[in-house]
Amino acid sequence: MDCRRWFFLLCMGLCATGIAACETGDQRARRDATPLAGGASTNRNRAPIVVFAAASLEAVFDEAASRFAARPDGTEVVIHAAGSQILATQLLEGARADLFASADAHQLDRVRDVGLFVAGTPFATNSLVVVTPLDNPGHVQTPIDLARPGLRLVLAGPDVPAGAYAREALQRLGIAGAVDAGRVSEESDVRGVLAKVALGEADAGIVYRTDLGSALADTVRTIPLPAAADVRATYWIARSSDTPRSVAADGFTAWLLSTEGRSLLAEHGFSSP
Amino acid sequence: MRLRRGDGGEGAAPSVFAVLAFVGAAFLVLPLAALVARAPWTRAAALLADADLRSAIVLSLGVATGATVLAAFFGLPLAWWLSRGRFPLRGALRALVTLPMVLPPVVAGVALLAAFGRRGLLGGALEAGGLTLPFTTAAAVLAAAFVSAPFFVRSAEAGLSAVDPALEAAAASLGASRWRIMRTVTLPEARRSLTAGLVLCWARALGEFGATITFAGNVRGTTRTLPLAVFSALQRDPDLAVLLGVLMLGLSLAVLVALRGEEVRP
Repeated sequence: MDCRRWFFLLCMGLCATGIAACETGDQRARRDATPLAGGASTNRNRAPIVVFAAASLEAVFDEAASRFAARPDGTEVVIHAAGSQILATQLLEGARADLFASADAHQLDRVRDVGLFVAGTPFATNSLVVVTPLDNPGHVQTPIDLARPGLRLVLAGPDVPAGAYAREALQRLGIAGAVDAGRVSEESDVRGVLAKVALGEADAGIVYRTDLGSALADTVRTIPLPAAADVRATYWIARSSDTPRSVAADGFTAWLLSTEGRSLLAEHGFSSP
Repeated sequence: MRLRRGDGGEGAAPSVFAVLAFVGAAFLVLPLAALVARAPWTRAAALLADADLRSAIVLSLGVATGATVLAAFFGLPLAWWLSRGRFPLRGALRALVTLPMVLPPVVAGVALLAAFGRRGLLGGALEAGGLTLPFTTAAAVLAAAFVSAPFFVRSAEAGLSAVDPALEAAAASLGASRWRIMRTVTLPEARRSLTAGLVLCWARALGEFGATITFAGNVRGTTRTLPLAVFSALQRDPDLAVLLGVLMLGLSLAVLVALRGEEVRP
């Protein structure tokens, strides 16, 4: 094939990319313009609302999204799940979301303090458990064993809500020093902790009780934390302060807090705040 | 006589190439310029004084150097074999040892877990010998070596293949031993490719992220190398991540300067 033909193809490709980009721009403009006139009843057939959700919420929010979308007053919901601290950073760097469901108040405060999000609502709570591989290579019998030197402990990082709660629990157990020894591998969300334990690479980890509902749960052994170290994780949901979809976004939050929403959360192991 | 480049051939490119070339160059340069522009210079001193950060820098240099030493120690004989050996499936072996270069690093990490993890192929044997690799600095070195060694092997092989066999034959006819020929003729002749391979290998090892975080975990001071520190910092303090990024950009630039004039044929 000669150069001209190649060049022609390249130009066609660039044009196609350009056209596609323009279309997206138009759609965005439409999406941004409609809500001013729109009410809950016209939510259907519109662009979905975007919900940034803590990693531990992914399964329950996926189901919540499909149930909410199926309602007559519902809207399509797109869930983007990651560690809450990653989501907060992405929002601070300009990512757009209509709702932010954070696993702790601190990560929500990061985006609230700069005015990106409005005051949130607590909608669920969770608690922590210690997990080990089924064969328990580190011989962890009680949570105190986590302090044993040489044990391969995996936690979510200190900025990850799950990691912050886990460190608080260790502190209440009087073994916070165990995680300061620089021997803890840090994961960027709680799912990574469960995976490392399920793979058998780590001797122990601390995850949410609700994480045990996942497929990996059968491959780990669970050790409960004593009441004194039972840290309660509280989930907050807040709406973007400048979303054009405030009605739909508030609708989703209201649904989560409704009887139906609460029973779904309870099915997944979450408690009410 | 053949025309050399610069003898008047440069006018042959269509002028639209200049526009496309400009866009292409801007695309490659702009993000790096933006990184430098965003660097929080006023906070730099305070951020760099952080002990965790210093440990990440020292660890990174150590891991990259360790990986390069491993790559050279085992890679040079391997490159020699690929270059001089006459055995079946040589092409297949060459392709296989090049694979980690193009494999997604996270897959390399999973593969290393499958081989050397506690439940991996050799994990049981290693554990019986009292050696548990994951979450250790040794694992970080292995991860870096796995993805970076092919850069050295391929560069070294190219260099060894380019050595004139007549020189080696002449040395042999003068009674030089195999070791002596290698030391005084072959390796010096391939010097440039070997150096380039070492530098490329070191640079790739320094930037290693995916295989490391998958296989070696993210343990402060033990496996948290600079790229992992950038990843961790981005979740807490993007300014610090940018500053670390500029630091790594500087190191990469130093690698390029070191490679200047070398024959780079990974």
